[in-house]
Amino acid sequence: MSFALQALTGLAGASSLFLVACGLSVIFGVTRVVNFAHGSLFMLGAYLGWSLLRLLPHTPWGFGLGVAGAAIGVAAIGAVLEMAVLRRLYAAPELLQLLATFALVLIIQDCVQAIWGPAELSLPRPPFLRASITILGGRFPRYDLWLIMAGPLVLGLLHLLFARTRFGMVVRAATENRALVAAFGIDQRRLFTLVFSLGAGLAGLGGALSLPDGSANIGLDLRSITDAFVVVVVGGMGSIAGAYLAAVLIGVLQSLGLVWLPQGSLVLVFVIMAAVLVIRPQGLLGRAGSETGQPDRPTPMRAASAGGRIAFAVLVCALALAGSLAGPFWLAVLTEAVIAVLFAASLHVMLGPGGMISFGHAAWFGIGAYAAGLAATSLAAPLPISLLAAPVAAGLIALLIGQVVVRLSGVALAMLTLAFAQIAWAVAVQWTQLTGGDDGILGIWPGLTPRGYFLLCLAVCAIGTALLRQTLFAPFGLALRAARDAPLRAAASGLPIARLRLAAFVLSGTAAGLSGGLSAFAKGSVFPASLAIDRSVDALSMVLLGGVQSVSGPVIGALAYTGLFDTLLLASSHWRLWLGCALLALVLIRPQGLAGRGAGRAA
Amino acid sequence: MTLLRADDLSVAFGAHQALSEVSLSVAAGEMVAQIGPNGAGKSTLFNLLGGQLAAQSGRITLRGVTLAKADPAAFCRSGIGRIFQITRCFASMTVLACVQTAMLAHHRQIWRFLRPAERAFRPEALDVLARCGLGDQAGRDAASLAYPDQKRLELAVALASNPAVLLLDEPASGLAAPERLAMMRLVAELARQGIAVLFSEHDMQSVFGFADRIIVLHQGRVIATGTPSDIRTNPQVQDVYLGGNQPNE
Amino acid sequence: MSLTRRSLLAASAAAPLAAPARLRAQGATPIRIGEINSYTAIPAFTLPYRRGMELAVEQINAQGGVLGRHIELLVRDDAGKPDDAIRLATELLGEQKVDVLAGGFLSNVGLALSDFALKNKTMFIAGEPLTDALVWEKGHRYGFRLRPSTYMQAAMLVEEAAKLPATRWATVAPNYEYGTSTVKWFKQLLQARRPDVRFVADQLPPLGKIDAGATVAAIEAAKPQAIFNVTFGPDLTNFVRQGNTRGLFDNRDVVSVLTGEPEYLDPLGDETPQGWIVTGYPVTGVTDPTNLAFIAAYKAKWGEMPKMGSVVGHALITSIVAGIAKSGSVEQEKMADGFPGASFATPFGRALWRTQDHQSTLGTYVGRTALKDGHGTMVEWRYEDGASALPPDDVVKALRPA
Repeated sequence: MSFALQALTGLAGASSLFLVACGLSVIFGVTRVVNFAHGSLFMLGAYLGWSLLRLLPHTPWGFGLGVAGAAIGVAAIGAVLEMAVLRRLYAAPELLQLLATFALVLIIQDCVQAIWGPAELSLPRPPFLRASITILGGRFPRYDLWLIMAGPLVLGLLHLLFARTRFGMVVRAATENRALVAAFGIDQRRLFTLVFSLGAGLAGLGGALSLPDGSANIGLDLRSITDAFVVVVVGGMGSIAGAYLAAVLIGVLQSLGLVWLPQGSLVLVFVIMAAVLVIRPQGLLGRAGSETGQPDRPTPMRAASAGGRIAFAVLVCALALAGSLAGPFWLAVLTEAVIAVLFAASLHVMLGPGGMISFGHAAWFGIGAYAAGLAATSLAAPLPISLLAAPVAAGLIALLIGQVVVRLSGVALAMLTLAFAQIAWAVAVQWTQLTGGDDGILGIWPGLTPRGYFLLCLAVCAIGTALLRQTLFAPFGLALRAARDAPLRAAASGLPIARLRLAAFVLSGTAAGLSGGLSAFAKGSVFPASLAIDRSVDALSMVLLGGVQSVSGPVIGALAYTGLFDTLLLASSHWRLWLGCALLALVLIRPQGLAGRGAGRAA
Repeated sequence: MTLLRADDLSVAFGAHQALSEVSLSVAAGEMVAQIGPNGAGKSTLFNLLGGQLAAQSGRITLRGVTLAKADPAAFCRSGIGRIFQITRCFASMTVLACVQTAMLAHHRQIWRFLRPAERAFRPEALDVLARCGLGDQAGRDAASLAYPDQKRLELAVALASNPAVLLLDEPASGLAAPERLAMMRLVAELARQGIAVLFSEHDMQSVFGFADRIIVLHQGRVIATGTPSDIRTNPQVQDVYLGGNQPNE
Repeated sequence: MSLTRRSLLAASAAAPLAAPARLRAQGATPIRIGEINSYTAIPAFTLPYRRGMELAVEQINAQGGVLGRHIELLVRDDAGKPDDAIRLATELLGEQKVDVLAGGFLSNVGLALSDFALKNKTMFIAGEPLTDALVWEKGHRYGFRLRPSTYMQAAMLVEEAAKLPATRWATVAPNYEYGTSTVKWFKQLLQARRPDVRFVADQLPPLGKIDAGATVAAIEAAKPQAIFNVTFGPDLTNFVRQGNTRGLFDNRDVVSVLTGEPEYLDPLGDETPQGWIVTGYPVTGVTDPTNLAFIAAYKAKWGEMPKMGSVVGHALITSIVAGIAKSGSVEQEKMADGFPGASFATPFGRALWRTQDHQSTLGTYVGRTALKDGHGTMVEWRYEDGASALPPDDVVKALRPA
């Protein structure tokens, strides 16, 4: 019957998901690195596999050899990356590793394209990979049956590795307690390199095994990375068995969901993740408290000195002057940059003093943009009203979503924000009558000259950013930071942690919404891309680049990132490579961020 | 006058019965110590009394009013202050701001978004710091304090909420003898000013030197309670301590 | 500032193209075409496209350019984001003073650029974007589009689909505007011709993330007699492989958009399903002299066979040059008046810019897929002129408010 066949198909999908995710889980469990580049390792596995399998005999043995070769190759690449990049960052704030791995994503994308070319590479399937068997009243690919078995097989092998070998025992001990391992005199550097390499090899294995069902192509990295994160978080960070369970849950539900609700394909995975996280924040088999607690170790944060205030005022004046001299293009860049400053500052409230990582900050930006765009077009509201609609809409929705989000922490919280942003994105894509779908909302122009509108943006963003900063040193800001610095201590002093975090979440969403509204009028249009993951990553990059612990961080980070991005995008067809290298260099040279301590005073 | 009372508190973590029917009371101005070997349930008891953990049965009352729901913020507002075994200062702030923050919370002024908190309760906070011997450290970053001063800051932050009862989970742990003594004297001074103090301590000199009464926990039960001299001669207590788990001297 | 900008651009990929133009034929400055596309986001299609453009620029300049001036092409990468495209358009217009804007692959980037062009009263020629809104709902005086739209692709295929005996149809399309609107037109046009047709399943996998096994199983479960496919690229490869193994295509007719284009057909290799009715480009099959000359020139310059993108890129440049020639000027208003009705040569034959809606009449090939020497190819094809796949003028008029 077709239901059973659909479920069986889901199991094959589950194995693929597990193979992508288990390496990520292994890496996270020991090194606590949130590895954005895991999808890139998966993609490398597919490309290496393609190259090897074309040379090897087209037999089951040849296939196995090629797949193993790809896995080993990617494991070696993983070891090199760990030694060259990540090793230098274990002492740095945790989120910085995320920025470094994001830089690796960009670099690997460009390298892969340079080596293998832009075209999609499919591997000719020899007959044994094409065969099917008749089962449950339908034809089922024999390869998919192998895949179904591969999942539990890898799970079993990993279990044996961890349960029976000395290496495994050390890894388990390290997962429980890193300090302990160091105390036993085990070389932690070597351990981390081995673990990262193992995780990378598993990603490579997954990539190579995906070849018979598809092809090696440039989009594989981003295609697989969200899936991998979802599976790992749903299963429980660091739990391999949990990852398998999550993969089965998601694979089967997704497969069945396609029959019942085909138009839900964009969000199904994220809805499942959100549901699991709301009920069980630590994931299916994760243990409470095993997730990373805070985005960063708190370091002293000082109120703006007189010098800092003057520097800010000088910056605003300089921008105003630059704006009145610039041509249309640089005016557009400056407008974008000041909007980015407010956007980054809004994320900073949540990420820094709020202690909540967001992977979905684009949601608020996009909701603000859509609110302003709809008010201006459908309601023909004047500019001030439309601009006001943006923070109001974003703030109200943040208030609603925040109720659930602030109960979580660490990566689980981050993934829940991502889930929400993806759901909001899918709404923007699919609620065509309201949002115009992919075609977006057009013709949202402010009715000011570009220069006039730039000055308006500059004024709004400067005041908004200054107010956000002010908040951090007002009683609310102190209370919020106390709740982040030492939640137990803060609660014992009578601080309502959950409400403080909720307030920070709403404040952050509101400010992001305002920046989104400003952006809608700057671009004249709103598209679902304003809610997409890329934009959330942009915001994270800006804040991390500037430094999480410094109040001037988001300002400097946003200006640097937009400047870097805009210039590179224009100047080079290899902008990804250069941007990746620039980010990596900054992370390695200035782990505290551009504006962080060590740069002198935090202005 | 009894301020804090606990009746028949029990809590289990899975199959492990952490506390069984523990009862105690602390009066204003009294210093009560709870002792017991590691794993006896001392920290669990503090967590119940501080609202960090919910008891499965039993009752906690403060001035005769029952504290029904385990909520640390509500316990704090009722007048229970506590410090933790591991110091947890607000690492992004100055010493002064740590205390100011607790005071802002106590006076329900945290929902103010714009006016800088710099001058809020400044004299009061400086006063508390001075009482705890940190008068000259106010401007330093909390994270940069020496360890003994961090313990003092914990105490100062707890005092900022103007508590009637102080729960002190090893206030002097990790301190060298002179500092330990200074800390215990500071606590005794607070008790003398009328605060009810419940503390735990591994160092028996501190316990027997400063406690008015001692409660002995073993495997989650109260096995003895009484004055220091009662406890010193209690055979059951001697049995527990000599039976393996020697307290740190 | 502009000094740095210039020096940066010297390193840009546009530089090699700019160089011959700087020779200043007859002392005149070159006519600048600013092109924006998703080069890094969709490299498989945009690389051949770019090569097609560069070939056309070279050919045109070799013949002396247009209006006595050479053509200069400035290329920008929008990374697939409409926002970035707008900023780049500002740069091309404001800093580089381009005379014509062109480009776009994704429909929303095309629409964003078109809206920008309207606001700035600047010519924008969309090459690739297929959305109907570009020339209909959101069409305007300065906006033009080259390729056959989603409506036209669907209409061409419905011609053939209506002849099939099948009455139970399933559809599978990527879950975004291009997918959903192509399915919408196909259903509407097919049901107008064949009221007995029913649609029994609609699969909408996310673009680039198809769960092919589950999608194939779900379609199979609905027991359709025929399938209409809109997926392309890696999604299509995955879909075809699962479909082949599971026998989804056995004894079923499949009608599939764009699948005959080499970009999408080549990766299918020896698994190319046979007998699918597709739109595409049978590169080597078309033996008329125009196409052969194009292939020869393309191969000489790039050392590989052209793809569909190459044709579009090449035709984009020639269509712009023809419009400029007819306008006799690069003044925006004169071009807006002059482009409609301009006729131009393409590797597929002559086409023109329609006056009704600024859609070009460039058509595409409709045929069936087949396997030849282990490679996918198109057979039984015919060239379908774009003009014949468009609705009557009164319908267009109703669809296009501008």
